Amino acid sequence: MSLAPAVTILFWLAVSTLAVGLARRARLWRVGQAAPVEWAGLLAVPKRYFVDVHHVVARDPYIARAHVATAGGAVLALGLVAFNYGLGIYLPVLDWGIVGAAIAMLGGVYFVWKRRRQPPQRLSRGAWDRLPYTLAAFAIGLLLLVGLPAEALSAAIAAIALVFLLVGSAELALGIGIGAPMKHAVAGLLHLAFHPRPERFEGLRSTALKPLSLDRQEFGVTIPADFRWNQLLSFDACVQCGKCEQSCPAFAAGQPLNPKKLIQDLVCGLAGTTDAAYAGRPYPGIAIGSHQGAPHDAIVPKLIEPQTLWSCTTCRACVEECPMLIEHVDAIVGIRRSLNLTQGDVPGTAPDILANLRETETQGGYDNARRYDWAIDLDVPTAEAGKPIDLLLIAGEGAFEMRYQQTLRALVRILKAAKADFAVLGACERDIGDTARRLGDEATFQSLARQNIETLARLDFKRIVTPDPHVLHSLRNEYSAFGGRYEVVHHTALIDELMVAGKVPFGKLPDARTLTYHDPCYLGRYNGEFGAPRAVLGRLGVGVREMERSGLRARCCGGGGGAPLTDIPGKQRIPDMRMGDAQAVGAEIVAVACPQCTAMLEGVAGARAQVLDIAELVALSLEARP
Amino acid sequence: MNGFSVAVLISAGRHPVSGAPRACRGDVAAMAMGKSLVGDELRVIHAGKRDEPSLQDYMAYGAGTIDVIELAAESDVCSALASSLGEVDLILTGGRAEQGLGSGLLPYLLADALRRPVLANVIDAKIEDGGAGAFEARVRQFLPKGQRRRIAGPLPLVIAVHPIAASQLKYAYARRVSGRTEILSDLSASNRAVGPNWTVEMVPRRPVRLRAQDKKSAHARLLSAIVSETKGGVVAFEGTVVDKAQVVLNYLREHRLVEF
Ligand code: SF4
Ligand code: SF4
Repeated sequence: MSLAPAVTILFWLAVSTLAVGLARRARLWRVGQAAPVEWAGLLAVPKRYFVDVHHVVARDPYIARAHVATAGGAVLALGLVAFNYGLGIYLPVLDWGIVGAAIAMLGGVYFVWKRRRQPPQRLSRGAWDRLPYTLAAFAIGLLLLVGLPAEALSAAIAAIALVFLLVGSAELALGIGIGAPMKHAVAGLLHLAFHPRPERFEGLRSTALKPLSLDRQEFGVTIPADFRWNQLLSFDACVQCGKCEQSCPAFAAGQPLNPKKLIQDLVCGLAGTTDAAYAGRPYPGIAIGSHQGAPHDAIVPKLIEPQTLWSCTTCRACVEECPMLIEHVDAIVGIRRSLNLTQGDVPGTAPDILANLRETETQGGYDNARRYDWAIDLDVPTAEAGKPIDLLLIAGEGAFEMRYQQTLRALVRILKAAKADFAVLGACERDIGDTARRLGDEATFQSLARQNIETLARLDFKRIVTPDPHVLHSLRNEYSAFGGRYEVVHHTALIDELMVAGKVPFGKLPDARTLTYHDPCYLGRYNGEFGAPRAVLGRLGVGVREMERSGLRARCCGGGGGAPLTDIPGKQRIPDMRMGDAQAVGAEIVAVACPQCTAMLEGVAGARAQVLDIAELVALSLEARP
Repeated sequence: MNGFSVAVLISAGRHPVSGAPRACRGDVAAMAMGKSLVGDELRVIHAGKRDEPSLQDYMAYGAGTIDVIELAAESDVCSALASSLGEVDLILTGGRAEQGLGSGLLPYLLADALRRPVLANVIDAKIEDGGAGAFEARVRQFLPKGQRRRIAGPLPLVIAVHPIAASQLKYAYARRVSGRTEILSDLSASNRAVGPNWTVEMVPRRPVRLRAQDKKSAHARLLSAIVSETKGGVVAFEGTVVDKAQVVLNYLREHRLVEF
């Protein structure tokens, strides 16, 4: 008796189970808000999977290979089964293909199993631990039923093989419907097709937050159903690999945030369950099992506590590491917006800072007319309408801080030495609004943005230069949504350019101490600028001793996203950890390129490396020239 | 329903540095006290212009609907308020306005006009039901040097809230756009009064005196505090003007008061 019809029946059973499950899950996603999506995204899935996802997964080559073998084998086997058995063709040669695919899959599963025997802590356990066994059951069952000639199969072996295949198929087919691990395959592929930021697949960094339409009473995400449907879908794609958790500075500092848990809680919210089944590490200090959600219930505080949301520095390290390309920061800021705009519920000193921004257009409540006091003796021109200039210098909030004024003065000295045609914005400079926006105060951000755009429209300049990556990011990437389009350069990029053009009479740095460079998140990960600061340091004749986490994977200084204002307590401070990173490579100087990083790292107590901005180092070399 | 009515008076606040319109901080504290006493039954009243920009800030802090007694710029606010608020049992005000005269006299003048007592510098308040429709306010009052005292008085009352009173009110943009104003009475034509003939001008920026860092040891500092001879310093009698200037410049450099 041939077992082929049994495989056929099982196949169609599995397909219909999958279809029912998918329809059920899709109903959950569809409670979300409408989102502009391109159906052509479906066609782009193979490229997005093999290029974009693989680009991230390949950072861990072991699991990348294991996944290719497992998933590739499974997909190939299923495809061939669909054709050969699903359509009842029963060609023996195709059986060999199925056997080959099943063997590949089995090989992949073996390596997954091996890793899971002593899994890194970032991995979730629970249902995920069973995956190697059920997938192996699938492969073995298929191997036996298809590979062995019917006469070689005893009834007992055939029965066992069928049971194996049944168990494995159940794992594959039921996953999406019951929210088990294999839902990642279906949700993940759909997520690739309908990603909320499709530009990411075109090589763009796509880091700008999306504006709220305040006139249409969009006040952010209060309940899970306030997310757009493709965001809900994206949460379902999470494989609980914990790469985000491992890279999160707030988690490492013992603050109550774990991006993986956050995404899983949002899954609970959309599915209307509790987090009792979650088998990974918790939010530090908050017990698992106490969270519960439903699509139309408020997220805060029953599903996610406010201190979790306010711990985030918006550094995007999690987004950068996520193999499923999930957008954690958009989710966090979305919920923050609702807390801020509808209840004004923001912890720490953030409410005072936001009030200052509304009332004085500075964060510290300063007099705007004093923003350029530090330049009073430097003879710096102020931009005026009708007077064309090359470069408009925007100092940002750092202008009010004594320490950072040193950097600004150094920058002005360099610009003067290079005979650059520049002017400062002067008393009509307002805060750019970055801090307000990350804290969820979209109203204040938009009001500041509109006024700044109006001010800038009156002036005649070619490019904007700023030493503040937060200012740079807002102006370059986020103002365009409100009609402000500018060419914005960071001071490190400008110095690099002036050096290449031979305009800066720099020399060798007279300081021979070991130096490392700390990448600001908003310059590096947000804007992809890693080269210029290193090139400048190289020209000064200093080698950069890289920290373990640098470049794309740099660890945040703790200063972004308004985190120093909300100031959620943890076990240690993020800047202390970052200074530890610098000390671990023996650095005696940490070169920085951002006022926030300067302030955070300068705030580290005890014996530590000296913090100097790249502009300060270049200015030192100017003076050291014979 | 409470057996008594409470109203808070809010003024057009201005930020002390930028002059931007905002909710007057003292009045927000008063509004917070009113909310804690009667919740949403609190009446919020502004005497002034109906399109006063700072009113929206109060809405963001949870004012809900603001009753405006419309007045022209040069009006007698106190009599306008007195004629509209006679029925209100408890009137809350801030300590003083952030613009205009800012004399802090309004609660007293209003209480006088309404013939009721005023409790000033109040930090927190509770209303006790004395039975038979009589209510008593029990308050904690701010006194200088960290002292506080508890006093009580029967309604009707005027209470001027001290700015350090705890305010739990939070600023929410959604409330700012959902809040409304209603015209309680329009007294902009009548009620004119002649104000004091003052001119307003900007405070000039005061130069800040640079202070040399004291580089002496603790022992030397102690000595200089008790013995007058050890003040230190140089007296430059000799040399040309340039030499003397150099001495000054050296001093400034040594103490890092200049950077060149
Ligand atoms: S969110 Fe991404 S990085 Fe984090 S656990 Fe899920 S799949 Fe992994
Ligand atoms: S953005 Fe940074 S701080 Fe926020 S969750 Fe991601 S890794 Fe953690």
